[in-house]
Amino acid sequence: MKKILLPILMYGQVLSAQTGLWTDAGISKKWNKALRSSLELGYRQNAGQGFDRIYLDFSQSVKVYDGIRLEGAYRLVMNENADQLQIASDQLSQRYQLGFDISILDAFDIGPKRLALSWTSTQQWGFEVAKLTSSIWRNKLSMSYDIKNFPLSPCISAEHFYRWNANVVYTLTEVLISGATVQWRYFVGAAIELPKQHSLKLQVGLRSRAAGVQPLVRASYQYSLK
Amino acid sequence: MSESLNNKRVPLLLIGLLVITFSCVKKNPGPGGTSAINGKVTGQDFIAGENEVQQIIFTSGAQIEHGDYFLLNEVKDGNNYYIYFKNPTWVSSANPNIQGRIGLEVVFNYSDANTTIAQAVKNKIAGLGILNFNMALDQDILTLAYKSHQAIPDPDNGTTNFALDVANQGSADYISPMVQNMAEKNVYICYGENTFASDNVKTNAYGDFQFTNLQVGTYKVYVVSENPPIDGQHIEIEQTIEITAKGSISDLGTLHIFH
Repeated sequence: MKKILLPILMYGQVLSAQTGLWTDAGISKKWNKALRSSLELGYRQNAGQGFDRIYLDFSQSVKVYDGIRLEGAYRLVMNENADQLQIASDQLSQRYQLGFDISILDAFDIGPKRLALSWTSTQQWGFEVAKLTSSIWRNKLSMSYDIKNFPLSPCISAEHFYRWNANVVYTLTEVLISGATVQWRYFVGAAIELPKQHSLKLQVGLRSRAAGVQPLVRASYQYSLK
Repeated sequence: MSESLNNKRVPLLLIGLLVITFSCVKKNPGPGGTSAINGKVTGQDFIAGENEVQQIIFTSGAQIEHGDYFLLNEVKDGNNYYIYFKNPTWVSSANPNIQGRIGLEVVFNYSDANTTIAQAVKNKIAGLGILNFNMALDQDILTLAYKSHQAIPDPDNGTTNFALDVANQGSADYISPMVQNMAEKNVYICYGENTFASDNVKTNAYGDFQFTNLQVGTYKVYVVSENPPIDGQHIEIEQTIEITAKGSISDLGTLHIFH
């Protein structure tokens, strides 16, 4: 009975949330064997609700060792105002990221070549008018497999968000700031094999926050400049 | 060689870029921080007093006798007066010489109309100069509106048949000697140089309040108070405070009001 009831309850919870539709497209340039830059434009909306955000993201990564990359990124976001896109300075937010990505199998030179397993750890700062600067530590484990002679490469990921300043408690004499997990995010999907320079990834996922669980659908396109 | 150089430069470039952009993120006074301002509101009860209004309705000269008088209080410089009537046909003194009061003599004739008597009395009182009340004469009704908030001893018609009435009882302003913590009182905050309130909170049961989520900067905090002794006029009791550190609590002290 439990085996039936629990999935039904979970499914019901998922359905009650507004599905997030995330689309992004970008271009990337590999300057040499180590250095890579990318520029991405993203658009998000919540089904049945409206506009969520649009952003421009610039990132750079550099290989410091086989399988290990340092990454930095800047994102400029225009957030929703009552589920509408309205160009206003107080709806803007900025995000900075600094972190590393370790391709575990590459770094230790183990496992099959078609399998990719990576750990990404990123410290992120978010700034928005009249809001507390968010300081979040993100850790993501992702895995993908390049199936031979098959146009789809399945991928799966799980990401944990820990906000250093999630709880701010004001007492009479001091301010107590403490951290907490603010989000878990999961994706499962596949990269579709396209002619060289093009890449397309389709994923579905879930994110669990204090506000509830939200289903996600994500499509990412990238064009690599020669 | 060139590639190796680039590899070394890029992390530095990234860090440099982050430092520069972070320093560009300016935050103005207002929400979005981790600091707070604490304070307290105390107050004293203020009840505005009232101006006394007295009215005198005069009779004609035929109903006044030589030596009749009536009493008015707090006429000038805190002095009480009696106004007596003298008929020139009488040779005896009309002055009743009431002790502790100042007498004013009004000459009349038996043929004088009530309005004539009223005008004569008004002129006599006006001759004293600056009075504690303003006078207004309407036919035979003389209205005395006292200028200050205080209870005036009631006038008396003495030996006359005038009708003297207290149209509005005067009372003094009252300020409670007890200082109380002001509960449920609105406290306003202005961010930076803002002229008008940016936000507000209510005090708790003990008169304490706290503005939270503030950034480093200057703030003006105020409460609205009555402005004794002026009834119905309000003023802002304000204090300016500067938050100098993130994650800090700044104590504003006490804002004292009349309510």
